[in-house]
Amino acid sequence: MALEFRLMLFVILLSAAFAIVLITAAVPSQYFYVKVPLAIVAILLDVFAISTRYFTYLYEPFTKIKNHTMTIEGGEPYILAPSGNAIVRREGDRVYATAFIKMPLYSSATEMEDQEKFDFAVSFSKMLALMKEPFRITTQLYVLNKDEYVEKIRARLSDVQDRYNMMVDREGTGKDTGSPESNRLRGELTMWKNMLDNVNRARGHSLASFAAISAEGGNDEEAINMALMKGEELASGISATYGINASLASGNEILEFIEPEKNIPVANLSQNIMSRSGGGE
Amino acid sequence: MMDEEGLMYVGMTSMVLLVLIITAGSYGPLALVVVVLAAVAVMVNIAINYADFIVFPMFTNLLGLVTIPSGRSKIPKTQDVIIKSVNGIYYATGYLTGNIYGYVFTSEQTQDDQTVLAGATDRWERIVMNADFPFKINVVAVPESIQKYRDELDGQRGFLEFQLSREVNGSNPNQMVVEELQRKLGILQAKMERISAGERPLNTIMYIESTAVGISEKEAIDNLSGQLSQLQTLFNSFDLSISRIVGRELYYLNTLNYRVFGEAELGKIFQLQK
Repeated sequence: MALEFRLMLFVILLSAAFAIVLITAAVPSQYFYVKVPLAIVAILLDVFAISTRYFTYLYEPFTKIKNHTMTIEGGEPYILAPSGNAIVRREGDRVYATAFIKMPLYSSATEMEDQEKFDFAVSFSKMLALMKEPFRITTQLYVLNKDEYVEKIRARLSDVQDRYNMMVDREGTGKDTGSPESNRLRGELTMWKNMLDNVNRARGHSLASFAAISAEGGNDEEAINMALMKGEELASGISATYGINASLASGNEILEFIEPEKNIPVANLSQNIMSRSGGGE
Repeated sequence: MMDEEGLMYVGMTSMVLLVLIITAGSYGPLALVVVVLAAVAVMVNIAINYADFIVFPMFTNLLGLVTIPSGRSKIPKTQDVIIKSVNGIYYATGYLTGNIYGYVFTSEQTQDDQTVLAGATDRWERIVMNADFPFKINVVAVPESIQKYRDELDGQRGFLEFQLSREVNGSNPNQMVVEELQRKLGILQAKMERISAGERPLNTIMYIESTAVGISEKEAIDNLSGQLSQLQTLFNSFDLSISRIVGRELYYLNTLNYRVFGEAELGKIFQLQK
């Protein structure tokens, strides 16, 4: 429908431009002070006509510019479906739902023989030809939220520290005369401290792959159902191609695939900003 | 690849301007002004049609126009980045384009090159190991109708056979031209055999996306530029040309995060890679 509107607008504008050119050509030349402005109008309509190929989505926002700001959509670009396993987007009177499929691909090229690498690349090509409708495959490298991991290390470190302190108090041993057990605990303490330092210093990254497919519907429920159906079909195809368990993503998992701020967790922001300004690591 | 639709747009709009130029004699003393304006309009039309990524940012820069693609983000007048602010932190997202599938789909080889494809996995892993910032690589697969593709191939084969026959039966056949035509026929034949074997013809759009963070807009944008430059260097190992995406395609790539367009829409918005 949008494409037909675009073409119709092009025809109308071009016809108007052509009509004005013909009319002005027929007007006697002594009225050039009328002809020239009309010619300019025809030229503008002609340029406007060609802009319909790519820029019709800006026409209405352009007429509502305020403070040098052109708003295409003022509201949220999507909402999460009530079931949590799709997102819904409205464009005018059309409703689109998109399902996301998690692809747990954990293979590394370092673990593969040449034949396996070739097979992996060929499988990727086959995967792209799975569906009859367009879909998107994405692999993203994102910053991991290390907080939980760091908390585990801290808890373990604290536990070992407490046991070491208790042993020192009980045995009365100093740094140089430890029993085998206290030496072992001291070694473990050093290990956990080093690990904490390393983890805090390094930026943790993770690689995730997913697919996305959309469906149009007359209303939210219809679009969501269609998208989920296509999503299940795509997930089955991906699972069969790669021998993995691809499944529909839901809730926060979907947000991690869409929102840029989820790629860099807040906990890691200061580290990221500091390292960029040369103050970190 | 010829863009028939683009030719239609430019052709028809240019015809109107040509009529204006031809009838410019009737504009009295201002005839030259009309001719110049019409000639400039022809060039502007060609630029809008084939280089809108230059024209549109120029237009928004001139007017100082900021675009709001959705309530949460904005595209500054340079039209080369999408900025989102969350809790006072700025996230700048930019896009690069690149066609990695020259190895498989647009290859001129009749067989998949095993060494090249096996090497692609290694190169990809090296890129991942060397990038220390978030980025995404996206492939939008747009299946094409098998019958339509086969008809296209048949048409191309018929034309090549005609050229070959004309060259061979000519008075002075050029051996190099004959070999070139035979090579092209071989490629077409291999493509048709792959379709017959069950492979599906595919168009693709491939693009790389990266997000940078900053405590100010400028910092986020500067960081993003650095990241995108680094990605261009890293992806050089795939021996392809990568360029930064600016203009109207930026808006559509951002929208692709929320929904995958249909085949017809994708064909209108982007140049699909066969």
